[in-house]
Amino acid sequence: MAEIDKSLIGVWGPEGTMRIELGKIREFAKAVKDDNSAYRGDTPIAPPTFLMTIAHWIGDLGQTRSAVKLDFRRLLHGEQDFEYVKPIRAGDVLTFRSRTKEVFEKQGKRGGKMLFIIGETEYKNQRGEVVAYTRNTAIETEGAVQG
Amino acid sequence: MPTTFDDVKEGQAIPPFVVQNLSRTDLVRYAGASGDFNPIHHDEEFAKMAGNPTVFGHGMLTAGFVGKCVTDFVGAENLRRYKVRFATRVWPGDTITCAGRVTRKYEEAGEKRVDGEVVATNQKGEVAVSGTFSAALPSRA
Repeated sequence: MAEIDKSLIGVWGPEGTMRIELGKIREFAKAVKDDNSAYRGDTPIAPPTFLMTIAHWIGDLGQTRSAVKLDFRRLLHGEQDFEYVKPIRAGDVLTFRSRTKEVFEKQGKRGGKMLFIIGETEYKNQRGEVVAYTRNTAIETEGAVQG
Repeated sequence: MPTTFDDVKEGQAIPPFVVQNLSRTDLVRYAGASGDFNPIHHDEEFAKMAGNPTVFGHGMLTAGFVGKCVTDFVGAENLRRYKVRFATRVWPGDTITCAGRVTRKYEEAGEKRVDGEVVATNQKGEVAVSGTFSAALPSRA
């Protein structure tokens, strides 16, 4: 199973920044086949799952110090949770930081242990207001991942 | 137009959103838009080497379709919480139906809110993504 560094659980990693771009919002809305007019115009709001576009940069920009050394061959994305505090619009500059919030083990239905890793990212805008939190649950299985 | 708090009822169905015949191009477009370039979603050889019949969709792509279903109903600015759980995978050629219902109407933090549950199913009726949402709705003008 994964190596866990308990001293890093709950500890925020370094901050990263990302500008919310108009074109990226349009591109993302099109990719999820969302033609809602809220994502057009000059200052569109970000679609509900748009923060995933930042999630994939966190490793590069935020240098997250994960408390768990993950084995990606045995990793499943179990859940994804978005909490929206204030609207995020094109032109906003977000500062984000991430942490491993919680790590726990459960017995799997088909035998074998499953390790649950809950990661959390906090996003603030250019006015220093918290605009959102995202939380993801990753599940590392003991055996190879089955569909 | 998004619904209003006055008009919404507990148990009310949310209008479905259907994606027909999911294509490999849809997966590539989402990879580019999201930045999720896990090759299992676009590289046929890689997907097969990992024991899959072909490439399959990003869970968050399906969650994006469900998100559209939710925000078309509640309004994009009104969403407060959206949580999804991933079940079966979706494959090229699948038809994905996103649907849901309002489960609760209440007031919290000075806002008129609704909670709901949503689900994305494939053409066999299998659940690909299930989820919940909370939204603050405007009053009827």
